[in-house]
Amino acid sequence: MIRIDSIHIQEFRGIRDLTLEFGGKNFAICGPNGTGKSGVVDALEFVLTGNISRLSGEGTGELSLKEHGPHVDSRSNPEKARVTVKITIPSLKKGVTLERRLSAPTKMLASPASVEIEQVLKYVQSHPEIVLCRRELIRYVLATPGKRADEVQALLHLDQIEHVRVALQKIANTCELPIALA
Amino acid sequence: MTDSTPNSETQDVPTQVFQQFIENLRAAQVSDELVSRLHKVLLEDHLLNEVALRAAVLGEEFR
Repeated sequence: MIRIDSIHIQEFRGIRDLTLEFGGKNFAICGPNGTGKSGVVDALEFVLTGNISRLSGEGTGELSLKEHGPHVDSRSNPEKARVTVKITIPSLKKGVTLERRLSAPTKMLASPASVEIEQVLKYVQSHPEIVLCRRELIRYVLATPGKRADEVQALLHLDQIEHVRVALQKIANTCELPIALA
Repeated sequence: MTDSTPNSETQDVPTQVFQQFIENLRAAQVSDELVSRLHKVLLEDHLLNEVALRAAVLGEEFR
């Protein structure tokens, strides 16, 4: 779908200024507690979706993107809080730079911009499973097998297939008319 | 008939499954009319409820 080449995080969560070069490869982030590992994950989710699910999910109380997204020293100036990523879209063979600011989280700047690129970015934005935090991963691990299957299906939107399967089965069960063959 | 979302790398899993389903119906020589209605419901209108599917399978008169 997309490969992330690099990320530049400014005044975001607990991070003042950080650039990471991923080179489009898989990467792991490790470090002691409180060093900003989750901030990198949040930044990645934010720039791609405009949201930080850890601030809006279950048990997050009064946390908000606007107030708790910027670095604590930049809360009065959220304009400084921004995330920039350079990505490659293999299917289009194009590199794209994306930027999103906490002062306007719904607006993503893409350069270059085209209909094809916008289509890919919309797809990414519509898939929250691109970023799974530890809490969500643990929930899947601890879920009973039946429940886990349901949750994975919902995560990948596979429940749509099940809805159609069930509906077609009900139609088949109640229908006495043969389906016309050519 | 052409699909509105031709790039498989920008399609989600359900869309790919529904496209394969449509292709299998065509390969099984199911009537073009029925395949067209199912294509419209599943891949164009994204109406995945029983009412819409029943109408697609059986025709509007069975709504």
